Amino acid sequence: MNRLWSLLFLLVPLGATGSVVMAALNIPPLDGMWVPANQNPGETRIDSLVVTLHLVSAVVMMGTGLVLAGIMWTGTRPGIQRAQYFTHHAGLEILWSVVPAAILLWLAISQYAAWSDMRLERPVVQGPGGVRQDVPPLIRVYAQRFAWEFHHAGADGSVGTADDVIALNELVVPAGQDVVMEMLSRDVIHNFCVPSLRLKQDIVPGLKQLVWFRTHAGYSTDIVCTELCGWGHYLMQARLRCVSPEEYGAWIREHSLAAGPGGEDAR
Amino acid sequence: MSELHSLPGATVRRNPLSWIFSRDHKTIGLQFLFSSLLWMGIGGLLALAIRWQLAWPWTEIPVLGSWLFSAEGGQITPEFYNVLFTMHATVMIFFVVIPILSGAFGNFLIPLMIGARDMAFPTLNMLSYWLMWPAFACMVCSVLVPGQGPSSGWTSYPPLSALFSDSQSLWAIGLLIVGVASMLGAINYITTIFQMRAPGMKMMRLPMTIWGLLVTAILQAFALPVLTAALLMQLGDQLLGTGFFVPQYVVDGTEAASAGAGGDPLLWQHLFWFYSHPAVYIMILPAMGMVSDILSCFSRKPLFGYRPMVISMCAIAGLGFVVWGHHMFVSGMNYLLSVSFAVSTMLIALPSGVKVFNWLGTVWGGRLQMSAPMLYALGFVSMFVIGGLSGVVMASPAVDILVHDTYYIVAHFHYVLFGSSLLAVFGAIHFWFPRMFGRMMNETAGKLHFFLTFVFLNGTFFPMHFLGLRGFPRRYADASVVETFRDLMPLNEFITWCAFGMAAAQILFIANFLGSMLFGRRAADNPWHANSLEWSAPTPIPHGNFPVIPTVHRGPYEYSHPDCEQDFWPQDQA
Repeated sequence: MNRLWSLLFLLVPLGATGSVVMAALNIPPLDGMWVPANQNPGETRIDSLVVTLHLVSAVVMMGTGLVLAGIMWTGTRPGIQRAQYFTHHAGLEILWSVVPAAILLWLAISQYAAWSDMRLERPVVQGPGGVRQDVPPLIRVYAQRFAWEFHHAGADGSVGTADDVIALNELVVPAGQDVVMEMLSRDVIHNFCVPSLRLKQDIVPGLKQLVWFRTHAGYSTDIVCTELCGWGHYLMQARLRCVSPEEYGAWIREHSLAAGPGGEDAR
Repeated sequence: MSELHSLPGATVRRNPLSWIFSRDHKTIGLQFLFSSLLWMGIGGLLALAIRWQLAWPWTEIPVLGSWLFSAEGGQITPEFYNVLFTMHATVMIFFVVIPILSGAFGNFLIPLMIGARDMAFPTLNMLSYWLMWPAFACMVCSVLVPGQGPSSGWTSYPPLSALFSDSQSLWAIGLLIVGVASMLGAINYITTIFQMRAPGMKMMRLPMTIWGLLVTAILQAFALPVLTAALLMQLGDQLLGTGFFVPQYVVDGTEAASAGAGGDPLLWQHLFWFYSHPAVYIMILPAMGMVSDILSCFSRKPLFGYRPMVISMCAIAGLGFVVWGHHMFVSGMNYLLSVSFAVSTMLIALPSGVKVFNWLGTVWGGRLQMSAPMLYALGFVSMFVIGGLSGVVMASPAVDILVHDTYYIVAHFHYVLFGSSLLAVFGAIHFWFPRMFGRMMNETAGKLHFFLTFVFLNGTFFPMHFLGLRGFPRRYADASVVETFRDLMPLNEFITWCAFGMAAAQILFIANFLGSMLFGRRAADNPWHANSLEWSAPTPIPHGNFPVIPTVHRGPYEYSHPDCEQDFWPQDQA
């Protein structure tokens, strides 16, 4: 009877690994329970990294879970009985220290490239005279409790100038190019988060944060705040819309005219 | 020191006041135990209110809703939702997990397990308990004062935390007092363990429970002063107009307005996590120690690799001081710095892994008795593997971009703190109950409680991984308002049902605990046939613990030793 407990413990690795595999492979009823499909072709390494880390976890989970359940099945006795007497095994202990250390070090090093893509290597363009230079910010984001204000660069191509197009809770970006955004907070810490674009960045008052991404025309999704900012935290959302470069140009022209001269200074 | 206080044969007066203001370590341990269990009930109710809101947003909470929120038609307000999760975390971390592990079991077990008559500083010990009540009163008052209540999360990030100054300040003062209480306890534990061990009790003969409590006390002694200083600075910002953490607001990217005070919000995060990451180990190391003792006893086998177990515990504590930045990968902290924190965080999985393998080595080849304490201890190992592995996943800064501040994190730390630490606590209560009350807890009720808790905790916390992978943020009062997350509502409802099941299972524990305390079967001095010194003391354990201070001849894990006739060999048996 007491052996049956091992079956309960067997369910842990089977259930955990099985459900993660089902979610990753989009198998019902756990379809749609994995990270949302990546809509940012500039950052694909992160997806294989998520899979690799969960795969390693699943193998360790299955290994330890099956061993534990197996020991419980074979070792359980009704009353107090004498067991084998051994206190350590140097070879085993070295093995289960060195192998995990190597795997962990490999994971630590191999994940660097994905992080570098996202945070360390800002997109560049060929500038005048063939000089490579950083892509300038196309959008300036102001976060404030509980709304997003997006300043789109106007005809001059620079943000923070009089011809910026300002939209509340609506971010419009051109398709097929690296969009660099600079982000500022007007009050407390917020977080600009779009899971499908692999974007999540705190916006700390007093600091200017940069993020970059690219996506495709016709894509539209929610922008949410993921840093607690007060009672309306859950309401602080906006809509991102990606349009073709032509449509983007037209949208900028239309809204520049609608806003009239003055732009940001008039605010 | 406490020579007069701990004279053998001294008796406890039967005056209730003398129990309340006792300086006996066992009484103080039980006071911590009763109080923490009470606070666990409060923290649990707060969790249920959170779960109700997440499953059925803005509907009337049964029973309490119409009483608490009569003006809002019985539904939670968004402001109060933030108070709920702030106080749930505060209560569970600072009034339940830390005090029940260090306060209850630390106090009760340290002198008994090292063969001492009491703690080194009994009065300090009494103070460390009595400071908990003013601290708790501050927390209650912080919710009751006019205004919004402490609603910036247990992390209390400025500048948000500067906005609700009265309630937030009371919260910070409460936390300061808890910190002082913990520091008093830590000083006491370190001194007692280093100075008052029985003859023959070498450091490498200490039970793992004591190692866990010692390393925890050292962590507290080094990390808590940083939190204390940071809280004082935050109070200065809130009450005195200082500018440590409240920034100069940058309004247009080039020109600084004068709305703020020139402080740095990231400084708070660094200081806060410098304490609060070690605090994670403060909340797990004693549990690891207790589980090691229980596994060895009910496998009738020596603890596998005692020395590596001690070393890995120390390594976890040491590395625990250099991983705090993994809480800040998306904070705007220097991006290269994140890389080094990622490496140190990955490396801390190594000693944790060694512990898991050594626990498996301990039960391997054992003659396992599936008693209630053993089931909780095995449950700890099983759940710790899940919590540990999700920690490795999140250690990658790139992956953290996906899961940071989502329910993946909530799943991770609940697997560690509930699935691991609290299962170990339940196991430890069952295991040491005979020493605490001279009676046995009911085994059948204990096993049923384990089964229900184990099933429902997995039902509650495992699906949270999927919510998190989908990007659902924590601290959201309502998932249904965001189109991207609307389809997650059925899963939220499922989680809430499981949480209610888990809460209902705790009624069984309370009934078993109180019933066994009053009517349980009388326990023998050493009902589990265990080796460590606390089982050598007579029942009931007198003030001063041992008629004669025992002499220690061996380590605590000599089970089934070929040179000993019986299958256990108590530490003090010649």
